[in-house]
This record gives sequence, structure tokens and C-alpha cells, in this order.
Amino acid sequence: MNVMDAHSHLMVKFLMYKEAGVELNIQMMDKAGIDRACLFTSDFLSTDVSVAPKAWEERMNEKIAESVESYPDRLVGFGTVDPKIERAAERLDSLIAKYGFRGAKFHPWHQDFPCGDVMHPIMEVAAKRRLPMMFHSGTPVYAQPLAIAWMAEYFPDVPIILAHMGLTCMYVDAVHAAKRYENVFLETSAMPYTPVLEKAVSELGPHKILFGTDTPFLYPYIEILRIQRLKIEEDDKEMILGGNIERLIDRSTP
Amino acid sequence: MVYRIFDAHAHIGKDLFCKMSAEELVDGMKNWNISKAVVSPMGRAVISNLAETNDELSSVINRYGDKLVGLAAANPWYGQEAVEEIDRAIGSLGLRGIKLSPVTQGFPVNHEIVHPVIEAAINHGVPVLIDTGFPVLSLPFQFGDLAKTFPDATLIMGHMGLADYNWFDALVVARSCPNVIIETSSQDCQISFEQAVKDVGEDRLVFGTDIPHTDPVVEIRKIETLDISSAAKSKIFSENIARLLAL
Repeated sequence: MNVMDAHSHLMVKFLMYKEAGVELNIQMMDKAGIDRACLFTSDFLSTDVSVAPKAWEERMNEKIAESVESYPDRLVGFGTVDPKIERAAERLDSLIAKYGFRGAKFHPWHQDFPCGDVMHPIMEVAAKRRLPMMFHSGTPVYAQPLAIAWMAEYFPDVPIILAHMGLTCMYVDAVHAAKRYENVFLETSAMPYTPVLEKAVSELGPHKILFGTDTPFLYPYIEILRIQRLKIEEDDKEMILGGNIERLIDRSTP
Repeated sequence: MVYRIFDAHAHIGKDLFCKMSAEELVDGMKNWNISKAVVSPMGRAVISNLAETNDELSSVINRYGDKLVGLAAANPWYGQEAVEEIDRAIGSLGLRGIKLSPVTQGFPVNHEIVHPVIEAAINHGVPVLIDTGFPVLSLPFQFGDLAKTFPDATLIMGHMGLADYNWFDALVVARSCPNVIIETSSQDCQISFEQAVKDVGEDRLVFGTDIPHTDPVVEIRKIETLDISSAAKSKIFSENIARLLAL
């Protein structure tokens, strides 16, 4: 089975976490039996006063591109832009062209934006390039699953992935969103409720659920163990553990 | 290394998305290698008719000898009636502590409405397990606010703040409140436990599963594979909860 992680981060120094390079990701993937992973930055906003936000954004995207270049068979790059800085949509468009990223990751509370009009020009770029758009979800106020999923109606061709499928306390919203909108998908990292996962598979269909780990914040051998042990069909498991995210990435056009 | 495992946070009954009978729990415990579980009711059963709930809990527990230990359901909305029910549940039914579910029962964990329940726990010398991690009602700092109000109460912080970076807050609270015990269920960030051992010591963490909401095998694996000593794991897996509940 080809296992692909839909959610992993390149670690930079962040609060009590230590800085680590892409090698840590590869080690953790090997230990968990993960073949490939979508890679995002973990430092969405500048933490260095001497680096302006736009330059910081460029630097973080460049790091993702470099990491993917060093492990092209293992990693798939996702870019990000700060939606609050003007011409964000254009920047995303040129990032994709420059680095060949296959999706984008947004973090509404880290990046400090509400998922309303500010995202629309960016979503148009995503529609044009058929990019999967991953959003951190489940943290009130800015990362409410329904606030993110609301965009699905306006951009039916854009796959919207709710990372953490509502992050425990907002799982109800995430499941409802995925049920209401064809183009809303749920990613499994940090979702400890196995009955919710099993119910989501049976109610929404296995094609809606994407395995993710949130590596290295969380440990992938734990996140994958939970999915492997679900009481669902083996074929469904195969889709969840890789087939679904592969399909979304394959239809994107860098 | 094989650890003796006590589950400090197990449930029987029916909740929004899962259910579990005592029979299923005890059967499962054999497979999961859990030798004792601290059980509390959940869902509708903790909202009203608490005497009935606690009677049933106690009779189920007695059926399984020393495999199960019970935490009484108490609903702070009932005021003096809740206190009397706690007196009965601890004094006559043999339940060993109290469980509060701020989201199911609908109260901010640091609201005055909770005070009589905590005072009753202090009177009986039993700990209170409280779910944390739910914004508005029971975030770690709200839990900490309660812990500071009642330094003599032993308060177990269920889920260690649960999702996001709430565990950072959980540690800030635990460091300043020696009466706070951290419970591990459904906290997916293993770094949080390693940091907790460094910050507040291995005596103040208790292993829990929150069964049937989670997969106990995964919850156990999270602790087994931590980068801490085997002695610390033994404490977290059973010794600490055994001390707290005199098991």
C-alpha cells in the first residue's frame, strides 16, 4: 500500500520546540511507514523583526521548495501566503509557477485572518490551478470549520481540506460541512475519536477522509496506528491512507 | 517492559457519538492489558436523575469486583441537592471521587455554581476529574482559576487541555497549582507529556483513555513510547492514580 501523509510541517524554532531540518521529517516518516508527505511551513508569520512579512513569506516558501528538492520522491510542497498582505493571490499564483507546489496551506489563527472575503481572490487562483487548499480547523474564532467550508459553495472546483477535522471539540461542524459540500474533505491528524472517524467514513464515504499526521508536532507512528486500527473496509483504509490525497494532488496543475 | 495499567478516565453509558456497557469495557480491558479502570457515566445520564445514575454505576462496579472503580456523577446546577448526592455516593455507595463534564452539563468550570461540589470533594477527601480543552467553558486557565480558589482540592485536568496549544496553558496552570493532576487521554501531542514530566514531575500525571471515545491501544502506545524513564511510565500508568484514589 502506498501511504501518503496529507499534513506535515517543516519545523523551525517555535516556542518550546527545537529547530529541525527536513531530515527529521524523513526519519519520522520512515519510522511510521509513510512513503510520501505533503509538506508545509510551520512558521506562518515572521518571528524576526528584521525580516518584513513579505520577505519572510518568501523565505518560508523557499525552504519548503528546497526541502522537496532534496527528497523529491518523498515530499510534495504546499505553499502559503499571508492573505492580509496586498496582492496575496498574485503571489500565490507566482509561487506555484516558480516552485511547482501542488497545494496551499492556510492557518487562519496563526495568520490572523477570518475566512471571508479576504480569501476569495486566493481561492480564484486555487480554482484556476485546481489546487487543494488545506486549512487548519477547529480553533474558534478564526478557524471554525463552517467558516472555512462556507467558501465551498462559491468555489465548487476547489478541494477544501479541513485539517484535524474540527480538532476534537468542533468535529460536528467539520462532519456537517463535509456532508453538505461535495468539495470539502476531512484530514485526520489530532482526531482521537475513533467512533467519529468510523462514522465519518460510513456517512460521508471513504473518499472524503484524508490521512494526516501533523508531523513533527505529533508523532506519525501514533497517527497512522489509529487509522490502521479503524474498523472499516481495507479498501477504504487504502483510500484514506493515501489514495485520496494522491488524487487531489494529481489533478492540480502547477 | 510490561506495565501495570490503570485507566484513570473510562466511561460507561451513552454519549453523542459512542456507547459502552460495563461488560464491553471489562472484556476490552483484557485485550488492552488494562487491569483496573476508573469509570464515570457520560451523556444524558450526568444531566438529571443523578441518584439513579450513581446507583446504577455503583451496582455495575460491584459486579466486577476490583476491576472497576467509580467516580460519582455530580451536576453543579443542583446546588445543595448535588452536595447531598455526593455525600450519599461517596459515603454509602462507595464511589471514590467525582466527575464533572462542563460541556455536557453546561457550566463554566470556574463559576461559583461549582464551589459546593468542590467543597464536598474536599470534605470527603476525594479528587475531582474535570474535562478540559473546550473553549468558553473549560479551558486550562479556567480550570486553573478553580484550582487556585480551592488549593485543598485535588483536581484532575482531563485531557490536559485537549487540542491546539492548550497544553502550553495546561503546563502553566499545573506549574503554579500543586493541587492539579494532569490526565493524558486524547492529548495527541506526546511532547506535552515529556515537557510535563520536566516541568511538574512524574508524580502528577495519570494515564487515561476516555474510552469509548478513543482507541485505548493508541492511548497506551502514546505513553509507552515517551522519552522518559520506565519508572516515570510506571507512575503515570498506575502508581499515581493508585495513590490518589487509595487503590
